[in-house]
Amino acid sequence: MTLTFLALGFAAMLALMFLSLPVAFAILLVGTVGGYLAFGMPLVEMMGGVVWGTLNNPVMTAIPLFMLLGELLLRGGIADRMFDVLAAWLGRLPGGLLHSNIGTCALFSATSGSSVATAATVGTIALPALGARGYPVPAALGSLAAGGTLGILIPPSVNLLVYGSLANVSVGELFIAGVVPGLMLTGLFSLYILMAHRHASARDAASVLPWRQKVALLRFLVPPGVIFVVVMGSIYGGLATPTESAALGVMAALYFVGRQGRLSRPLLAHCFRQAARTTGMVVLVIVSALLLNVTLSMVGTTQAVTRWVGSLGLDAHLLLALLVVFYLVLGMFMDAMSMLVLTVPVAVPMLAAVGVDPVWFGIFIVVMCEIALITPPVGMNLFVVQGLRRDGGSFADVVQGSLPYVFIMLGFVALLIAWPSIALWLPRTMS
Amino acid sequence: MMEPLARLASLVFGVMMLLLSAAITLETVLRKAFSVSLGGVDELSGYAIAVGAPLAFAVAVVERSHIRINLLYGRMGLRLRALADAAAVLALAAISGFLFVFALRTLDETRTYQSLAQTPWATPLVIPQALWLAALGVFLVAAVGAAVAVVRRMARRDWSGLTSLAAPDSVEEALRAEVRDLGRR
Repeated sequence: MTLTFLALGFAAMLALMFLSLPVAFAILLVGTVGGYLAFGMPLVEMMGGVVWGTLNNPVMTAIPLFMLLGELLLRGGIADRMFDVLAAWLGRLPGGLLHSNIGTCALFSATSGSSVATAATVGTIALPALGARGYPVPAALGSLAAGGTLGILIPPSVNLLVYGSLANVSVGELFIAGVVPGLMLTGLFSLYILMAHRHASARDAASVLPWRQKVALLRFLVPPGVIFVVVMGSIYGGLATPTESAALGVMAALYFVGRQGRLSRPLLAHCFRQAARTTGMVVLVIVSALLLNVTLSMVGTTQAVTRWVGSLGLDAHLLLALLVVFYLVLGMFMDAMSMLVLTVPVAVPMLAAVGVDPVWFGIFIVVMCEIALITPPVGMNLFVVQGLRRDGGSFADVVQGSLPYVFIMLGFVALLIAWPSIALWLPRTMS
Repeated sequence: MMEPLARLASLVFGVMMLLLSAAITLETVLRKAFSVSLGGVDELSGYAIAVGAPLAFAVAVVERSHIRINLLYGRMGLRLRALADAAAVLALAAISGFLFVFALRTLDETRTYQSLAQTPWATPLVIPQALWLAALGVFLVAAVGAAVAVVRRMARRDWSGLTSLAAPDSVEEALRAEVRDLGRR
């Protein structure tokens, strides 16, 4: 009975979303109507208090603070020179500048948190250089699109924060858990380039910079490096909560922007506006999802889903394999944030029932979100990279170039399932 | 009219977050280095998001950034797209109304019971909740304002005008803005 109710609700929500109604509205409507049908007005009346309770929550404050931090780093130009640094250091590897694309995207998106901003900045600098040096077009585009996905896993990550607030899991632990998988995935991308595109740089006759200049370039990595250490170090060392670490990061970023003489009123206004915009779009969806959670928990979702999964007699591995397929398909049609809010409230209790660690599952689901960013027809990074091209080539080039990375990520998910400690080892050393 | 509102909302939002960051930084340093605590910073950061989020919702309305799924939208004709846009804007107005009404009731209860925060400061909850309601009022004005503009276009059957007001911000648009900003840096 409960399951039919849930399935109907889920279907209604999907239908409303695909009609292009705001995702928050689809969730709220189904949550409220469902709550009303099951319990009548008293449940709906409760919701005001729930909204206050969800919003008046220091953990949620981390979202606007990390958004603001990202904006300051981006608009303050702190991350702009990363490509030059990495091109100088990685350009001589077999595969050449493709490694710089992956590396810069990983670093940049870890600091900025916006795929569009990352692709725009890195792509605008990298694409002309890649074209001039004769790199194959699909390989170049694919490395940019795939590199741009790394930021949602490498902490600080807004997606992990959202997962943490929805699943009621420690955001600090999630951030720490994201470090090793993020680095491993970056390494796997580079390994693929080493093997598949080792001749891509054959025509690349870029001048080799003398050591002295190469070392001097490293100074551009200092501000983002310091901020990463401040944010992650304070969390890892138990000195600060994620919200506090974000605040420390904002202050450090403000210092670096000021030291470069770029701190101005228009710059701040621009950062505020963008941070408010992205905070608004993310938090409204979270608030709706948490309101839906009230209805879900009142109708006994956890018990119903747990019983159902138990009755199927699935073991954890089979269930996870099914979820990989489910998320792969869902991600073809939906953006990462919607995928999180739509599935986490049901998936987490279901997996807890078969003994899956919720921190581990956060990493798993965010890797699936990364895949969603580069799977057609609706992979946002594909459109972003295509939108940056000036050669007028077809969209198929981007898809073709990105496809190998989808398989790499799927392989990585298999590793993650086989060895959960890839994600859990570091947070466990902490506690 | 909406643009000044968004500008003001993002200014208040940003200044609040900067001040909060400064307070948290001070508190963290004092706590770790001198084992002194200002106390209450945690409470403040809860209020900051409670008040800041509705302001951010308003900015996202003006920027047409609230998350929508565009799979089918991209394949619709102008008329259908205009309808979807109108429905989306009206839906946001409905959310803003819903949140405002519930906040009003919550505040009413707080006043009746004179509730205090469960914190060392024991702040009378009326104060932060009144600010919260005001911020939700800003969201309401932005969302209803957008709805009125859309309904007017609908009455005139001005479909392309409607979509230009209410279409979700596209990847191309966002990219152009980023590249422009990059050029200025």
